Amino acid sequence: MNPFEPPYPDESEDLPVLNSLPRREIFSVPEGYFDDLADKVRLRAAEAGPETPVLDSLAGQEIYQAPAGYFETLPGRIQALIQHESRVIRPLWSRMAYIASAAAAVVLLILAGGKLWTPTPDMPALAQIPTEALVASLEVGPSEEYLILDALDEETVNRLHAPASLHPTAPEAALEEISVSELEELWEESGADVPEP
Amino acid sequence: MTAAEEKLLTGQLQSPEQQRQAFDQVVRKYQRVLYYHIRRLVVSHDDADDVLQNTLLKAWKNLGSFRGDASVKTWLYRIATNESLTYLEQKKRRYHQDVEGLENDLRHSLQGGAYINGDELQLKLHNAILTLPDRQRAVFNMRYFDEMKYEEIADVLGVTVGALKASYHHAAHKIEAFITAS
Repeated sequence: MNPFEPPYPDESEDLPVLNSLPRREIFSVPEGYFDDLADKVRLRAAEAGPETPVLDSLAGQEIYQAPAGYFETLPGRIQALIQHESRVIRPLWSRMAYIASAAAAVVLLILAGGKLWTPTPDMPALAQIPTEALVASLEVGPSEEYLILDALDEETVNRLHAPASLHPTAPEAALEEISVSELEELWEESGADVPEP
Repeated sequence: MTAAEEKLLTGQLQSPEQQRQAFDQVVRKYQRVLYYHIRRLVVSHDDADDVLQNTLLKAWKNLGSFRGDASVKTWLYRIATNESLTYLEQKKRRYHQDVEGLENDLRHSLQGGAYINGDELQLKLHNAILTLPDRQRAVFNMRYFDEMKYEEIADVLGVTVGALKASYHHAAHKIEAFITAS
């Protein structure tokens, strides 16, 4: 869609003067202006220096080392681990006892759960969530709330929430009461913009 | 790795006949990047070795659930990050009362540990990184050392690119201030 085109054709009839004017640019630039613009910007950036000069100078240097031959032997050790894992097979009686006790526990849980717990309209029943989604949610450890809290400075976090609900050393306690959207609002309120590094 | 190679590898990892050989290929290809990713989080070589082996073993056991929606690298980074953070959390609960206790422990490993070779400034950088919360360290390391794209890191951690950029920006400035001040 062309942004210069009026969205509603009928409205253009109400703007006769504006519509009669030729749509051309009145501003111009000195000759060759765009030819060296990139160089000028690079020069200014070089003069201003990098935002994090020390970090930039250290980029790409690794201080950690592995013992000699570590990576050569690792694949073999992993294969040995895998073989060991697959060899560990429990006897039949042990598996039968395990299955029986697990089944009994499930029956008890269903009976108890039916009496004690009914899903609220806002909370989908666990059975409605695909197993793969549950597994995926377990695999992904860090939550977005933590990242946002980590990025906010302590003073902002304290200012944004009542002292009773948040102790600076216990962000987990606060997370129980703050949603992601609230944190994003807090982030905006803090005045810190999200830059494009 | 091209998309076709990735697809082929994913297929081999799903095939009972080929998966052991394919997994061996995966281990050889990604062992170094995973090791250094984990090492930067847990610092000591012995801990990194434990976590790396757990990571690869967990990947092997869960090959059936890997559908190729993410790349093999992203999937492995996700498991490695999760394993490292869980390891640190367990260490904190078992041996330390608070975050500072764990940070001091990691700092001790950095200063006196084996298989570390860096000059004063580099050690200062790694000391500065240790002042960050664990998850922010993971973000910073993936971006700064591994030069991963924000989109890739977002896939690994399951968070938005915006939150990552904010996290990295604040981490970089905090580290820069720490190094400059000391």
